[in-house]
Amino acid sequence: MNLHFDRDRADDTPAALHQLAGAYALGALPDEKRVVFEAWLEAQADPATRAEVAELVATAALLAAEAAEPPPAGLRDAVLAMADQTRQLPPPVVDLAAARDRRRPTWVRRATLAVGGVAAAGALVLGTATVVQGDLDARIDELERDLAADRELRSVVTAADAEVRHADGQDASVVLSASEGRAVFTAGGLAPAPDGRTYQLWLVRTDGPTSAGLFDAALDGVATRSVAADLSDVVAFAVTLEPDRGSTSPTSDPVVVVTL
Amino acid sequence: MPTERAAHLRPVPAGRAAASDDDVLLAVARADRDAFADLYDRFAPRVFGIVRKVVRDPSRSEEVTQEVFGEVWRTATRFDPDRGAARTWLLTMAHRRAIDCVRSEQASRDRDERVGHRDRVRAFDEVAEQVETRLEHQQVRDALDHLTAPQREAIELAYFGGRTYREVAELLDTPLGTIKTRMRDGMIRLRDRLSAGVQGGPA
Repeated sequence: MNLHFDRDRADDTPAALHQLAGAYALGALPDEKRVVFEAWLEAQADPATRAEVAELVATAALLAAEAAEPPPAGLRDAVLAMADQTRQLPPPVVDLAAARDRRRPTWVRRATLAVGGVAAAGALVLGTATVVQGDLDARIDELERDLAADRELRSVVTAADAEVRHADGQDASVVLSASEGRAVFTAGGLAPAPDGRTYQLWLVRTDGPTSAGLFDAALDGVATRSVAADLSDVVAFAVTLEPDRGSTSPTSDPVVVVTL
Repeated sequence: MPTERAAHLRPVPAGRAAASDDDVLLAVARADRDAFADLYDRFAPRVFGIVRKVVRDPSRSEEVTQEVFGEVWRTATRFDPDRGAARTWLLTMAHRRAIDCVRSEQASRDRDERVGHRDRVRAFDEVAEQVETRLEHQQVRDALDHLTAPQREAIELAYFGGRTYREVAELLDTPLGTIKTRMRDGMIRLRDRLSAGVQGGPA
């Protein structure tokens, strides 16, 4: 696991996050900080702030021109051949903001109608891509979860009493707000849980740990978990690897600890 | 010399030169394979170049470049021209992939080598058939020349060296806050100087 850490606690207030805009645009934020910054950014009411950051990101992209060099011969053919064997993601088909508050069965029906596909032999046809109904359901579930996590992260990060705690020597943090009654735990650089195992998040109090759910790392090694709880007597957040149905109490030493 | 240069020159078919990068990427999102080849021709030197600068190892750089174009093909449908330019979308993706590659490595690497200009100028001449890229290269070079030396150093160590702002601060033995400010002020200055070519988010 990646053990690099960031002791810069001067960024703990949302107002100070604005100062990271240049570093963010340059890709110079470690993952756990990037997640917090992006959540703060999305929550900005003033579009000028988002526009400023977008402009800095666009400026950074121009720097690549400075590094341009001819790619190796043969790469072009390999890239084009790969495209012939790779399916494209289906285009976004629903207005997620509007559909978010609807019950799922209605949303699935709307999605089916929006792609203009009359289900034929269990498949929806989207342009030149073919999506099986099961794939679409899984994708909708994933998007719903991402939106929910995003909303929660935003509400915690922008709360007036938001505080951040960083792990000592590890790429992990907890953003908490007593007024929201919620904390968001983020860890970066996590390898995928081995087969048959899962990560489990624990709230550690003086009388012992209670489970805050099971999770796995995303492909980029980042995991974010939102926890609604009374945090007043929680002393730490901890992560252990457990058997894939989870455990009632930790069965191994923590892989990540964030002390509050 | 002319023979070596000729190997890199590829005539641009008449219709293709006119389409914007955004139009080409939108066509890729409709599984247009010719558009994808066009997109490769337009961006591969910059993608490979920035990946190579960050990742260093030549064969790994080639792999990562292929992965970047794979992700471009796969996720082109997610590109929204109202949120920013195709160039930004694609080159940000390339840079992030390169960064992810070096930050996941456990072994310590010698990343103290300063970015050299001479080699890049020589390599760049070989992609000279893309007039637009050559102009952009010159504009970027000029804009970097107009930063203060500390701003330029912080930006180059981060962007081309793949370092976090904390790593830059440690390397330069400078406070974190100073580095953050140099990066922010430097990027704002670059943006202002290059603003003719920069498209931010929606107005």
